[in-house]
Amino acid sequence: MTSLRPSSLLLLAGLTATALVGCEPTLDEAPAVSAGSLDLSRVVAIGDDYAAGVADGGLTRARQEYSFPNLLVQQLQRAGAGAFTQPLLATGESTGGVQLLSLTATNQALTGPAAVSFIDQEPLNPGTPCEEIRYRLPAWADAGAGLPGNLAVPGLRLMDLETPGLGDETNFRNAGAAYNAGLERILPDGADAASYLTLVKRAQPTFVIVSAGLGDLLPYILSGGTCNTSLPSVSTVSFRAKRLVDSLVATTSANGIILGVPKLDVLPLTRTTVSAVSRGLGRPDTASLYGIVFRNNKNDTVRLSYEDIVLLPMVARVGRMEDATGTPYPQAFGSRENPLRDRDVLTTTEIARVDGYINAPPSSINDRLRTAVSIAGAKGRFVYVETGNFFQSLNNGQFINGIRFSDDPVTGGLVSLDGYTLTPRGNALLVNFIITNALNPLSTVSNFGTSLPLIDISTLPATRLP
Amino acid sequence: MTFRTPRLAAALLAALPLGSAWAGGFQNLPPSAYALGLAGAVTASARDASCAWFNPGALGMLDSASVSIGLTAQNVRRAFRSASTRQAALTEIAPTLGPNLYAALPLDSAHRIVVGLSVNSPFGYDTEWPADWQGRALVQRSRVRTFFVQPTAAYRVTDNFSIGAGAVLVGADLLVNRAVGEFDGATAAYDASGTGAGWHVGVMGRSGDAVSFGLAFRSPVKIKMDDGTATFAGIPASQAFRFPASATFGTELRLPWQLSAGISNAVTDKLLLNFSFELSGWSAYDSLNIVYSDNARPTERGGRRYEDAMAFRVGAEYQLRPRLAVRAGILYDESPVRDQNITADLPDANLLGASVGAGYRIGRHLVVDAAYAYGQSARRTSRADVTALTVPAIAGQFRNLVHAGALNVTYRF
Repeated sequence: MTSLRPSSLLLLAGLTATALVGCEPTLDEAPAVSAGSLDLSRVVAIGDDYAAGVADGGLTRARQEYSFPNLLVQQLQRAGAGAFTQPLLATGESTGGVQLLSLTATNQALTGPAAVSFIDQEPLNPGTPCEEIRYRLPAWADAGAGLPGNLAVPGLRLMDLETPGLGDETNFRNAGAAYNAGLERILPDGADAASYLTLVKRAQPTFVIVSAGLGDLLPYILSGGTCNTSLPSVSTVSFRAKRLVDSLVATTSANGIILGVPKLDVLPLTRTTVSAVSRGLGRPDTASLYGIVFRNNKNDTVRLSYEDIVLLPMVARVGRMEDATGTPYPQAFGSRENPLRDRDVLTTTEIARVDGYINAPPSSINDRLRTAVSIAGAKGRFVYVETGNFFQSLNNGQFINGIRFSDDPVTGGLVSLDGYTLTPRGNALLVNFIITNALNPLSTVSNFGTSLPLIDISTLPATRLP
Repeated sequence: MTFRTPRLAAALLAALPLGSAWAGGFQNLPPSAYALGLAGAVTASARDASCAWFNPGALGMLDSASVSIGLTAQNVRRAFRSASTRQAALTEIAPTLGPNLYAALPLDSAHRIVVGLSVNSPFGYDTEWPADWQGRALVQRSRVRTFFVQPTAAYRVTDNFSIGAGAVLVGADLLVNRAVGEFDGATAAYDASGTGAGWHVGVMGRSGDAVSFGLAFRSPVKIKMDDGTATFAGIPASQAFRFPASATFGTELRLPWQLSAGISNAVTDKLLLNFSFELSGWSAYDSLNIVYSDNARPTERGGRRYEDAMAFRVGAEYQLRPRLAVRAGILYDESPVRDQNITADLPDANLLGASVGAGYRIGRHLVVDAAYAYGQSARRTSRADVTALTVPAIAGQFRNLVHAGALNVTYRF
């Protein structure tokens, strides 16, 4: 030892230390990503607005890219899922919806209609309060290359699932016929006559993502209960939901997840009760002190009840010196001299009617879906996802990795301006909800055995504000 | 020759409440090369002027004037694996440099009254996560720096017993950068500084030449920062009422009281064994709240809820050659951070560390000390409840790794 010089001793100590220690802390290994028992070679999304990627009431290419099925498949692809094509619109094309015009001092959105990219148009119900324009959309550029993975189209109704020719352009001008512009634009030549369920079978899915049911109700909801009032009975509509599951069981070998329909009271679109709107205006929380008046279907001006709902697009306009379209008016919107229109309001009766379709045992849509996935043949193959619970979890807000989220369409970051579809971050959070509740857990209803990572939702674009 | 120390150590270790929450927090490794080589087990050492920091009582045992100047460099590397995305993140290499100065001057010919000065930066942290890590809206960079000045005096009551006391003057600054995740590309920066004061006392005794003991206490220090500035950038114009471009805030940083007890045993003429036990009153550090002036913004609460924490330090010094002493030590440093309050700015965990060091005497007056220490923390799992709207948290596993080096030059008059 005495022959060692001090400097060499220090060097020795230093080398020993370096050998013993690393430069980075070592963590536990991440759990391996796994598809479990699932065959993910052909994932197909089925259904309406949610699965198609609608946001702000319409579809654009960017919104399609952030559709929840596309985000979910990106996670599934980490576990080996195959390619997932979407019928993307061209850049700049839009199916309409709403756009943000400006924000009020209390961060409420004043919105107006967004322009539609169409190749043809046809007025429906001309001369009635329910007059609207049916558009024919530009064809999907890859329509000849076979069915896309995302077969969901805006406005798809359970009632139309088995109707032949839903995507046939010859039905375009036939106001009485079922026609879906979103389906027509993606169908390859020669497939026009097939029903939606036939197309699903043809797509040969090994895993399906299903979200349907709201499409039947939305036209009624969005028109304040004034249009599309002749809805088939609850059991007729919900029976189609059962047929959808039965058909998947019988005609495919797919596994999948089936999303329920969120009840109205959890959607920001209809959480704007009169009392909430009054509070937002800084008025006392009683309808008697601040009455909001609307013109009902008998053309009488009537004060809204406490629990009636002012549809979201009109909420920011209440109390302003303008009418429903934003044109200046000498009296405040919502006053007796400048009442809301019937179509701006969902009364408690209308709300109850819609909820009867969505979730009212024993035969509502959600009840039928729950039952259909639990019977022999379907059990173990499909998992029902309680979408309403997802929206419910947003109602009180969430604080995720330092970011505050809520279901406020302006500041909440999750729900888009239409009040019922989701922003990119909202879709990612829905995917996390699905993975956490339906795919990864092993339970009596779900035994896929997948091990999938969640999405860092802050990597998706935030809601853009002026 | 007695061997009491190891038995005492064993007894103290046995008294360790197992499984308790884990003196960690943001206290740095010992700010002196001599002490670092012994893993900080110097409460009962009266070797040089650095006892003006470690134990003012020991200052009275010094028999010559001395001044020591040094530098410590400490790098804490923190790793994280997200429980949700399963992605890992690693903090940037950001060594914190801490200069130190220690001086001691006996005032009377009998060397019974000694005055001393300690200048160092014993607390602080600098955590910088990658710009794109999952918790960027919680913290991108968080830094606390402290600067301690302790004018101290000691009196040797008898040849073998001395007492000391002094003032503790502290300056500190705080810097936090984070993303405002509600908007793409928006950021927040918080900047504040302040001062605080406290006191410290200590005693040291010797029984014969072989064994000495020491006991020291430092008061808690509250650092008030009233002049903080928060800057928000990249915020949409319509939301400026919620996130003003600039706002002033106040906050308070609480440094813990510390009690340390140590024993030192000259086992042979050449071998010295030291043991120290330290208790840090971190429970004073309840929260780090950003309170805005004029209610420009709602208070941002950062719950800390630290617990008091212990540290055990064992060090040995061997006089290898007349001019050369070599040292080694181990330390166990309990974290004051509770499981439910692990934060990404300081994801503290119980630390097990080891140190090596050496001191070399050049001529009659000069001593050069160098030391290196390495520590690795336990893995720690943080949880997050998204419905807790005021508790910023991220779920995953954290682990820390510490490298520290120190160099001191001491001149004895």
